[in-house]
Amino acid sequence: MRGDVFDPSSLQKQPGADRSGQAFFGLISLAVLAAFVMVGAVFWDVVQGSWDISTSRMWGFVSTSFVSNPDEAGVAQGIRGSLIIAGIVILSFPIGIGAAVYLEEYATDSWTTRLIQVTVRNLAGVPSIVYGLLGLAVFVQTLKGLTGGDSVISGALTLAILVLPIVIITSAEAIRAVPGSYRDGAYGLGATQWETIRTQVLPAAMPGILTGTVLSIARALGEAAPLLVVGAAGYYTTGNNDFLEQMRGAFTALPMNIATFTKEPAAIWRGHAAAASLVLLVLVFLINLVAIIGRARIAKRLGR
Amino acid sequence: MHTTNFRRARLLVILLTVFALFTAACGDDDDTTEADSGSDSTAASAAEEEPAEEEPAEEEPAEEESALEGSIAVSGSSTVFPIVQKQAEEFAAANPGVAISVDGPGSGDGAALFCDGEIPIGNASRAYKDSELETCAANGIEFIEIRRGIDGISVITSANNNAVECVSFSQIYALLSEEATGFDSWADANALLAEMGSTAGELPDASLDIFGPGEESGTFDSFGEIVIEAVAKGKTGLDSEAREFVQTIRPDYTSSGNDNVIIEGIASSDTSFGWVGFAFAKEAEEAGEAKLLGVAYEDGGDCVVPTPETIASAEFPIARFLYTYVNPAMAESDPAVAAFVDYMMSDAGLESVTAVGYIDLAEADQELAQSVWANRITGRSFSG
Repeated sequence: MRGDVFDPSSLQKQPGADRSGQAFFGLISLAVLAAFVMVGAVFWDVVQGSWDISTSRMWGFVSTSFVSNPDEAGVAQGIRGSLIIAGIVILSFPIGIGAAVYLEEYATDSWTTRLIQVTVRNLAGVPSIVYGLLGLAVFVQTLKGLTGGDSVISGALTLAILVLPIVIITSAEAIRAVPGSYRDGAYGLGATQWETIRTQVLPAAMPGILTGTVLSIARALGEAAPLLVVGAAGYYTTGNNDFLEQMRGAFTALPMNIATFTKEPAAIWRGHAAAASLVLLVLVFLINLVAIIGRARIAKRLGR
Repeated sequence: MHTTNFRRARLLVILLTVFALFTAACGDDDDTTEADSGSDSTAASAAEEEPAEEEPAEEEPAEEESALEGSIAVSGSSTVFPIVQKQAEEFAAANPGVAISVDGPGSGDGAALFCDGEIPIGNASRAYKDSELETCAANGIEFIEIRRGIDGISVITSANNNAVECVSFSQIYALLSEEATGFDSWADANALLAEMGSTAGELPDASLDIFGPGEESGTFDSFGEIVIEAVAKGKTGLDSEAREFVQTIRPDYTSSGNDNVIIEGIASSDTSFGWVGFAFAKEAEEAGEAKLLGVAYEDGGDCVVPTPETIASAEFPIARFLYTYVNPAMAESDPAVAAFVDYMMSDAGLESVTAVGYIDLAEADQELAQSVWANRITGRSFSG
């Protein structure tokens, strides 16, 4: 790779000629180091805090529910809730990508389009608790007949709306980055607009779109504030409820488990909070891994 | 071609592994529910046998119990949450057909849900306020008030603080009431103490870093009522006619809804001061993070350190009752709700109160609570 592009480090340098450049290089190296140290510190903290649990009964921890006995308590309900949430949040991807295609490919550059774009950007910056209030008003109260009130459906739909602006923005950026020559080439060969988008634009933009969707799933998995507002339960049992009733009944998710653990009086629960954080990190990592593999695959296929 | 196939195969393997992990996680959950109910049913039969042996009067046929279905939602105080969680676990073990959810957002939040008719059972770490019960009345919702335990509120400082061992109510007032707004040294309170006519000793000249629960908390309300209002009304021996006292807590301190955050704050400064529920304070003391201060009701009175015994006997002056409110209409229409409250008030259920760190009611109170529930007496039975 290095052979075909210009490499600035191959230049002959006058000693002391590029002080400010070297200072800048030092600063950005420090920035990278700081990022690594911070991520490492978080990871170390979580691993160390959860050491007792992860070395003695990690399997039991991920396979049992939250009970009051700290030696038996686990996060199975949280994992289940988080996976259901991730599954439902995926529903927002076609909507988000569709909106991005419309905004980038079909919409004319009018003031309404710009207004929509600005609004979407602003929505991405709205604090998550506000989406929680929206979810409370719309899904928990108004649509109670459908969602069952404080249910995993309400929570997941709230998070789906929360990530929608992120999906739209990242997808739009990815579509915008597709060179115009791709489109021109397709049109030149007689393709319609839909054929151009389907066969050229979307495949070329897919790696970027995937990155955005992965980030948004990770975001949805980590959110606790909207779920608190929507009414995730601290403790629940499902009784004889069938799957549909469970979907409309009490629920929890990993961030809620972590929050509940930190509120317990006994110090032993802090280990549970750390272990639940570790489970959440691993879950997000696994989902990221799937998407990274998918992205690399698509990029490779396009490169050929 | 070879490489492509190989790559495809590898990708397939990875995807399958991830899928297997997903389903394993979900499947596990089901397994555990089954395993749970399996082990539960043995625990349940044991639990059923025990009271049956001890008390033949309070019988509940096993077959009927396990056939019980329905769903119960409980919400309210985070202080009461651990008690109800434990009771719910035991009840669910004996009644696998019942779905229970227990939540602890705060006494006030629970009261709002209860009085909107959203939940059949509301917990509170204080009695429901008149303003809250007005909503109940407006919505035509009756309530059965059950007192179910005692929780002490501990006044705490850092484990490293050797300058203070005991505080009197008037000293707490001089440090934490609204009149103390802006005091950032313990010694700032001395002038106020003198003005109040208090004979409690001088407080040391050290930085005053205050940590406590926020306004949404029942612990905040109870502390204000028990300590600040008592001083303001002259109950602790100060002349409340001679000068005007306030009845509110100062606004300028670090507040948190998470008790462990309060404890962390207390541990972070050697001269910290604050208050928190007894169960949390005791854990923090054992972990070496906080010191429980003795409290004297009157200046120069006995200095009492909170222990389960001194709280139960009311020698320790800052204690509050924990309550549960039941909607009688819902208890009548849903046998699962009635059965759960029955279990809460049974001897086996009541053991949860002390098991999670709170203190049993005096026997007379306990019997009254049980009879209030048994006879479905509505209205304020305790707090009136």
